[in-house]
Amino acid sequence: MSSLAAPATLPGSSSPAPASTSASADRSRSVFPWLLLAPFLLLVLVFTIVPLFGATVLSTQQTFGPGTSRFVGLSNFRGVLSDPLFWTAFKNTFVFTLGSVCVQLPLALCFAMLLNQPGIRGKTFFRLILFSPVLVGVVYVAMIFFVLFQKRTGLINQLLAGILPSWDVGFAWLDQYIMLALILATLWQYMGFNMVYFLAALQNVPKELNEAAKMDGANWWKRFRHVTLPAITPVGSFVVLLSIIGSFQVFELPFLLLQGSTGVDNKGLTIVGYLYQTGFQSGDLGYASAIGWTIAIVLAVCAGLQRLLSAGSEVSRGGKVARGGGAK
Amino acid sequence: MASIRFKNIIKRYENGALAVDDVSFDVADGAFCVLLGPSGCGKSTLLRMLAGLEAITRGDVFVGDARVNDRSPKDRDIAMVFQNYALYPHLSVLDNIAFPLEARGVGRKERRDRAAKVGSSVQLDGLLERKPAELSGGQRQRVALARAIIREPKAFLFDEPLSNLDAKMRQSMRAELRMLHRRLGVTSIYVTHDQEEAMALADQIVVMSAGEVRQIGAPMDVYNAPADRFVAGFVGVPAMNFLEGRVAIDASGVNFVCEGNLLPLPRNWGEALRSHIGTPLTLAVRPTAMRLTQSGVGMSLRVRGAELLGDQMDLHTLGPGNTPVVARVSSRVDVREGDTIRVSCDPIGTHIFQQGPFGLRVCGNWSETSNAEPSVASAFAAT
Amino acid sequence: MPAPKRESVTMWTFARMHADLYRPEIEAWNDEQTDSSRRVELSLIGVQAMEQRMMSAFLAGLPSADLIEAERRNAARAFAGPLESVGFLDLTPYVERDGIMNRVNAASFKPWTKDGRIFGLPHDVHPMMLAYRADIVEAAGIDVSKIETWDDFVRVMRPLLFKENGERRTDRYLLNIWETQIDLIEAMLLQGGGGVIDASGVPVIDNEANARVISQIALWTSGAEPIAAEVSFWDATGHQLMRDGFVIATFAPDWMCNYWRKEVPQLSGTMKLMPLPAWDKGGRRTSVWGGTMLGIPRTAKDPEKLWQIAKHLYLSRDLAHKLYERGDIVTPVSEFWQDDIYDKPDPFFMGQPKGRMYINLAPQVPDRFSSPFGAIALARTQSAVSQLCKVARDTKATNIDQLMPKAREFLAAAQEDAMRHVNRNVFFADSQKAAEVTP
Repeated sequence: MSSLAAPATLPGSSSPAPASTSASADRSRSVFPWLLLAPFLLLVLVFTIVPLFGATVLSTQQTFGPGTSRFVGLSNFRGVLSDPLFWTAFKNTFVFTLGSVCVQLPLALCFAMLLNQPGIRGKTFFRLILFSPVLVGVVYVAMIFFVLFQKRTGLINQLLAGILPSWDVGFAWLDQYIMLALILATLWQYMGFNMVYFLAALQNVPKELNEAAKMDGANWWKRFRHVTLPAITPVGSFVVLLSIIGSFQVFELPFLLLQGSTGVDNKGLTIVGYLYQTGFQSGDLGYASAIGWTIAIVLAVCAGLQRLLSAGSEVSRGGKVARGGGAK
Repeated sequence: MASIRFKNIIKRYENGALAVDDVSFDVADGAFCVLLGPSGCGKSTLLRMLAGLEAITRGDVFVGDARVNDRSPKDRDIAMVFQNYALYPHLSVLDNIAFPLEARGVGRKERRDRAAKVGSSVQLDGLLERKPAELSGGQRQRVALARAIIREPKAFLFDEPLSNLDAKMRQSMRAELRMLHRRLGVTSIYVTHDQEEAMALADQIVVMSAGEVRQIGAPMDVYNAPADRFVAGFVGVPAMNFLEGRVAIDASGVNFVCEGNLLPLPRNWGEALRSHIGTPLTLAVRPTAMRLTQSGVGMSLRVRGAELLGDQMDLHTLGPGNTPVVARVSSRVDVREGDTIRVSCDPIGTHIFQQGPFGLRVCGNWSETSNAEPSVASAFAAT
Repeated sequence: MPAPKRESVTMWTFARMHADLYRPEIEAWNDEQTDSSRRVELSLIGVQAMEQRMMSAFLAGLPSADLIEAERRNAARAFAGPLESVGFLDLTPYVERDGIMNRVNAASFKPWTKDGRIFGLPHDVHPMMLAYRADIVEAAGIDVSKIETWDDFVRVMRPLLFKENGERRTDRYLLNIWETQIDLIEAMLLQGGGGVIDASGVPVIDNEANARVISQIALWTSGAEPIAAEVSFWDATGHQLMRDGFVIATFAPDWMCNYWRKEVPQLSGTMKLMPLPAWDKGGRRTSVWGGTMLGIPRTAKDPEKLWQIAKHLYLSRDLAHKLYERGDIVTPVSEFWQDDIYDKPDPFFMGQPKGRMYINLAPQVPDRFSSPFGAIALARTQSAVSQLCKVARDTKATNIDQLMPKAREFLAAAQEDAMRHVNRNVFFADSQKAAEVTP
């Protein structure tokens, strides 16, 4: 520390007392950074740490209306895990997540690869077009798709009936097939957003590697598997994790599309929707907190898996770094 | 194996920039050809057009007798080694080497056996299960080589393969490449901006600049008889000194007059220079051809510094008209900064060019005056 | 910026129509006040936003507005927990002291009552009728006066039912109800003598009356010959379908008339109202949908003053008239029911004396009870309806007896789900015990 502090001593300062000078410099140096960090730390403390702690405490309590709470231990968690509705919500959310990840992300990657082709005209235009839905607030997305998905009058059913004469215009997007509708609406909204991530990742694919593979006689699929995929894996796994986190917290869209209900036979009930129902509609904030923590645990497991996966691909990334170093 | 032929190749990019301007030359079957030139001269573009990675605007490329313009890269039967090795980061060394075989549908057992054999031929034993990230730069370059070798192609293409290595490793890899070429005898085209590398490796050097070929020839031809001022300046370390002036021929002989300095030239150059009397010319002298003289002849140089190289040193001086001039002299000579020295020019290592960056050679040591090609030995003996 | 010292009375409402109605009244009131602390400031706040503000304040035990006009759903959130933790002031002593009970329709108090204590002054009765496309019905020579029961309704109206005939939008159904419209389903349950919450706030989903109603709904919407279809109330699509006559009849609580008048004026002169057909001969001919109360938060200062303002707004004859004139809403104050204003013919409904018709039905409006478990009970009931509709579709059911056993089964499961929440609630168990001991 003192060696670091030494340059702070002014050239003209008396040499007999360097120790005290450097000690006060030390002190100001150790206080000042904290001072700069203080607003951020304060906000984190007030709006993240305290509520987190509060939610933990709450999850072990039963609440019933204002000002009433009682410690119930882990009974909320037991209740959640043995609650068939929670599992319905979990299943729905899982299906939604799976749909988002397995449909949206490959599609986003496809579009990114299309746009990444050399010689495509109007790249910026298409990128903007595909990206722009994410700028639309979720409330408006819900309003738009609520109209589009209507039976009989909805544009989607009308369009499909126009294309396929056998299509049933009464197809109940918002009832029996609400998860499909949610996946499609989310696809529209976020595909372009994820595409931009992939596009950025694709621009990091070493050009020579693709050329080498081409010369080595690798076909499109082999080039994708051995060159593109390894290069975009770090970004890809991050996008997957973000999608899982986002999808697991899906709430606004079904809430708005189903106008506050949970859909036919709870087909539109999501975990956060159930959290809202128990906590804010029935006033059992403890139970809702337990549901919240359950999601948090599931997501933490997902994040852990992602870390493990990306640690596996670290070797290949290390290669790139080492190569960059070697160029010196 | 096959010869390579470039015929009137033109490359024009979409933005209109001309990268390669009507280039034609042949590379004999089994030859090691180096494309040499500064960056941006079009040498890599030429190589990439041969590889099929870059479209050819006009002209034809032949591998053997076959015109390959319209073939995809994999169907040209040529292998390429890239500057940054282009190894597949998630595959082991063995799988990297075997990759071209896998892509061609060779069975697993066979391709692993062959990859191991090729790997061992480039000293990769014991590293075959590692990932590229765990290898040194030289080892990675060997993997890239092995991956090219395993295909048994008609030609190898090298795109500055050694420039990511440190100086020592570069030298040893250079020697290895040379030996490998002898052993395999495959036609090779090698792109570099390092003239030393070109000298060391090539059977044939193609010097390029601004999309055009400046000179094609054996390394010593290019060194001893540079076709124009550009080649003269690009080949050889330290670089040639250039002095602007005129030629005067009188009873005393042939002289190059530069800001009042008289530099005597061989009498037999007079013939070639007669038609250029009065026009501005450029005298080019290799630093190694500078001779210290005591007499009044030659030009005077003001010493600004010296760079010690062992038993020789490079004197950095200012010549006539404050032109910087480097002279390589014995390090035993006692010279100090600020001294003025007088030098004459050894005809071997001295050339006269027309003015301008691409001024053609008017005359020089051997080519126009002697029918005999200079041997390597005599060229070096002269220094 | 320091908050200005709050001297006047603040009041929140969620409905623009209410705000427009109160504003002149409040201005007049304010002009009369010499004491500035009696002046009222009215804020119009979105219903969701208001619920969040109200509940945040109640949960934190902090002051919010002095008077809160709350809709039934969000007011119910405040009724969770033991009596002493309800965020609203117990108005029972005031109501009793001023003899309000006798002046107001009894059923209107029920949603705002918890364990016998009244927490809100009722704003409305909201009786429900059936609005039908009289132009179409009368053109077909159908006489609706013959209709007494739902069975009558379907039988008499059936000739109007259009089957799909190739052109997509010309098919026509008889009734506007569908499996996810839980508000309507609840209204139907209440009309049929059922409901999902009992007077003590406990879910009572599984009973014969409910089973019968949901079986009928499933049959109507999803049976072999559906007569009911979805026409959304709140968007342009639904409005267009209404204008197209896609359904003959739709449910119309008094406030709905006002909504149509403003949002679908093209319907004017095409519709008439009739009492709901009963489930059985001589049965209840109406139900109820929606509701608003005025409450005083427990944290408010000087409740006596606020009570006076509340009475002024809710019990004034003048305002009751304006409420009907501008909002089509019938007052819960029964002493005004005799007033002539309710006999005025309404051109929108082809000159029917709409107000009188609603008032005639007002005494029949069923009781409904508030409970923190109301939302869950309704959601579970809706699940049961959906399950039953699926059965009706799959089995191509033709009469309700085929569906009744399944209906009971699904309702029992729904009841069990709802009770899981009730039973694990230690406070609720306590208050139930207390309630059992007290009487």
